[in-house]
Amino acid sequence: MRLPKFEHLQPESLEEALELLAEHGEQAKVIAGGTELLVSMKHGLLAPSYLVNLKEIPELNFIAYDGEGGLRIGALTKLATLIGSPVIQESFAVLSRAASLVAAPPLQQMGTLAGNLCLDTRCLYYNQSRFWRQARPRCYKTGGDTCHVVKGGNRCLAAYQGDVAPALIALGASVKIAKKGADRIVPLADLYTGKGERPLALQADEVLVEVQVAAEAARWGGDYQKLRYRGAMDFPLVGVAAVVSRDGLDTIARASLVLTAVSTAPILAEEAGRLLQGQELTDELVAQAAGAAYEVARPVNNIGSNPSYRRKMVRVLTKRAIRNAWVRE
Amino acid sequence: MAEHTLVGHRVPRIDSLDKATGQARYTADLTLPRMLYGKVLRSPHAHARILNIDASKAERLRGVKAVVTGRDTAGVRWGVFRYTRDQQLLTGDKVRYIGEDVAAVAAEDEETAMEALELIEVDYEVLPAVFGPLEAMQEGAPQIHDHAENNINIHVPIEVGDVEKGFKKSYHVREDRFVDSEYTYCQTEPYAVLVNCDLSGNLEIWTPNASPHTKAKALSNLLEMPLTKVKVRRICTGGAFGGRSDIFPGEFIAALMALKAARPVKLVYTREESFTSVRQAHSMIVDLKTGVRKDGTLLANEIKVIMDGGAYSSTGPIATSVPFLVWEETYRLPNVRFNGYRVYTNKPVRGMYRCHGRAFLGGLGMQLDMIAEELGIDPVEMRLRNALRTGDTQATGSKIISCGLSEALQQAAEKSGWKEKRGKLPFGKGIGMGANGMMVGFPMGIRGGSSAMIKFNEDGGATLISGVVDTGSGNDSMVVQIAADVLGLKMEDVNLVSADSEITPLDQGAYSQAAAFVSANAAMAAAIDAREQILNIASDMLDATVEELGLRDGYVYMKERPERNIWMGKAIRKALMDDTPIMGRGSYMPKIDQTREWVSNPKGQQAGTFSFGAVVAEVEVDAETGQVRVSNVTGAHDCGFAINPMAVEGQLEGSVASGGVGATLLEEHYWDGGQMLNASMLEYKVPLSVDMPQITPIIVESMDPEGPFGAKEAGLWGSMNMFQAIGNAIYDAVGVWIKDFPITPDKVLAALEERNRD
Repeated sequence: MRLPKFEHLQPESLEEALELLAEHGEQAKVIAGGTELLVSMKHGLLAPSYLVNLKEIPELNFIAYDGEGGLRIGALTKLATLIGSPVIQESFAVLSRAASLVAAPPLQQMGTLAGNLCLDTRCLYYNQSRFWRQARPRCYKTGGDTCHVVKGGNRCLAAYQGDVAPALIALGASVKIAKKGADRIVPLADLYTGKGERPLALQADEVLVEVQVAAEAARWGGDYQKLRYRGAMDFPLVGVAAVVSRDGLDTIARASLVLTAVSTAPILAEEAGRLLQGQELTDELVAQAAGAAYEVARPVNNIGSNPSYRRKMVRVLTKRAIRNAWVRE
Repeated sequence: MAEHTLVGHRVPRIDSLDKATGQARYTADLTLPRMLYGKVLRSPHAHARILNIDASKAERLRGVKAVVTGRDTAGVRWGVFRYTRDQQLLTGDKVRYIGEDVAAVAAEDEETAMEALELIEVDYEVLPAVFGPLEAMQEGAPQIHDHAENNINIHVPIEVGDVEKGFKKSYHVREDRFVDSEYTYCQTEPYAVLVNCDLSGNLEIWTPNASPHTKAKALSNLLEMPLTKVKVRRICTGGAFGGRSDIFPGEFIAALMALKAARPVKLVYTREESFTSVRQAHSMIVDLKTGVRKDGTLLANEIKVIMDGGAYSSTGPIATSVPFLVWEETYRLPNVRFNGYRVYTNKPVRGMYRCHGRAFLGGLGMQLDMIAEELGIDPVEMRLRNALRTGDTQATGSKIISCGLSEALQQAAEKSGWKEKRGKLPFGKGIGMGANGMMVGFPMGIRGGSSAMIKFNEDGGATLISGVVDTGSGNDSMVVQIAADVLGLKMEDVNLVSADSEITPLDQGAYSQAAAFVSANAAMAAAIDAREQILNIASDMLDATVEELGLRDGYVYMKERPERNIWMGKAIRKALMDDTPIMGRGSYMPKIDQTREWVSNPKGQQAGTFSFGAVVAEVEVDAETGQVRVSNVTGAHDCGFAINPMAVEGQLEGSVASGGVGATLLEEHYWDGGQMLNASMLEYKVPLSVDMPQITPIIVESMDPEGPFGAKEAGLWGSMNMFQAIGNAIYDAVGVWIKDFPITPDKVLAALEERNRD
């Protein structure tokens, strides 16, 4: 498959990049690692006239941590760099674990943190070639008014399948979003609209430039569990991130559970977290929390494997994630 | 074998360096001056009548040099057999699957060709379609071909002995149904073809293939050109697994366009096209009824197989027979009835895949274990009691001239620690066995044999000219190794010219596991012939008899007085001066009953010889997720004799991955009607290096009386018996039988839940 024609723009500073995005708006797309964007362009899913390449902007490539200000990671940080970072391994293990389970090492060398967070939603009826898609009417995600997965469905249910977002949301991360002349900082969870057709709350002239995690999160234990059929490469069929903190020896002070690949956005399983909070960890409690996570999972038959199996696996993976997170705390 | 310097030794393959360093060139890498780029317009409908094709706008597009449609080829039909000619390689009247070839364009560049495709207007009348073989066989189902009622494409009935009597005499009878999804080859190299056309109308073709001679003959028939003008050249092939064997629309279409434009045309498929528009493997539904004596001896089998053949026949008669043949090639079957049906559906065309019959042989091998358990017999013992042995005759009449199946079973059991593990591992861990027999060659008429020639350079080096085809398994290296060994040369002193339909002699091709047995036999005969000529000349020069002479390291020497020797180049030069240049020639035709026919006469000697294998797989099952990990595989294979043990082991390792772990646990197609949802390397789950088990290969050498140095074949052990081994190991681990392949985690979990409910 071939890439459609586009103009490649190479800004050398963030300011210049934002300027270009302000100028070209919907005509432009940001490229960093390119591991998702180029595939979508080859499939004819996206046809931007301009690609604004962020790779040569050094100010977006950093990992900084201090005990008070917390953790700050530049958008362009490669997943491989993130995985190899000692401070992240030691203090934010859930993040390095989730990143290490993304795709496979060659893609981790190319893919960036922000690129992974900004993954488009996926569907077996959407991530296909132009030829493949022309065999059936347009779906919601390609501008039509039908869903091929849920017959009679009234909206797009394409799945968000990122691995890193659930870990960061469980850590309470925020993201800094920049556009020409303005910055905003929002909770990462708010980046996701829950709309399959347009899953990110990002304007065409905006760029996610930084991820921030509060210093207190460095003391929490975390784990990420991923279900996939092969030992590498695959997007999650189900992913569960758990982050817990202790109050004294045996009591859970705070617990955060986030699911991925079972809906159009990462899902914060609030009830599951609430059940754990202030309690001592028992098998029964873990099962209850897993049951609460199961309740909020909404997988449909759009990314391989069968949805009822995937939903069952939310229960299993949640239990494992809570147990592992607790041990690591 | 002490005198051999090369044969039987572990030697690096001659192609390893080029392939490992990326220097090897494949079809898509080739370019020719003035070359055009081709693209194919494909059907978006599973079943539709073509009312009209208007390609005039595409023809007028700047840069377009040729457009072809079914109108250019009306009536030209392809079929592997005379009685299966049902596929128009460029369809004119009807499309029968999504992805079928409707028209094609050759242009100055790929973008222009793609743009031109969008300008071709096709009016379709969409017809009702049918996607499953059982539905397709029902009364009132849409009829896909006019000639095939109830969409039955092929029916192979085989009956031997008295099946009813066998069941009556049986102590125990069991019936099971096994089902299996299709799979796709996923060769590293997608389909590609380059056709060059000169002003005299000669065609040169480069395309990954299993037999240049078969491709050339088919194309000469289809294009109505003499064989002398159709030349299929040698090219590296990036994997085959059966998927390069047939004739495909791509080479026909590229040739048509090259002839029309009088310029070279290259057509390179996308991965999606390689999935949907070349070949896939059959899915099947298998009903097995087996009766045994109290001691486990097989007494009767009744077998019904229904295969989803897709839209056209392809290798249908072979595909429909082989599932049964691989069973009779493994065990003694006194009374057996087989009915194989291959059914047309509106899906892509199904062909050979690492032989045929995952559900079939997998199911039989699992049913043997079920029966063994019910009778209290160890599965290894169960197999040993029924295993074929040297001197046996198979159910349909093939004589076994060498058989190491029992040794393979025993050695695989011993090396894997079977006795200590089977039934004794903790819950979640298990061990299981599978076994198989495999034809080495099958009846192919005049194309069933191989011949070879050897010529020499004045510096003592040689060139071997052989029709041998290497699709990646090491056949090229094998014939060089044999010729060098026989001639006392180093492998680097022997050049190979192979797999060119114009230059090299006929060869059966890389089908039916026959290269080591047939092609290598011919190469060995040519080398022996040349060696005799060299020794004859040298005997004069050294004043010795031929019997007293040996060949080693490029010298002819007296065996008793090695210091008396001459450089081989001298003998070669003398032969030239004497006007008796040394030219070795050799050939081999396997002893096969050529009257045997897949459907009309499935009796008589099927193959020159048969290979045998046994595999033990160990698995770890996560009972909460249903995920299965194969941790260890111990495989013993009777390859006759290992010409290059390293290459034999490599074949086992490859077949544990392709056709083994992947096909058993992971690989399947997702469908919505006739549309494949996962035609990509991301969503179709070929196993990765991290999914591979530890592999312990064991070579069993039965020293075949016909094979070169005793060799048979080594390509199809793990891929034929891993299904049984893994299925049986899962039972040993968690106590459930999964009869629905591939054994994905959801199926394992569902079976465990069902058992826990009971």
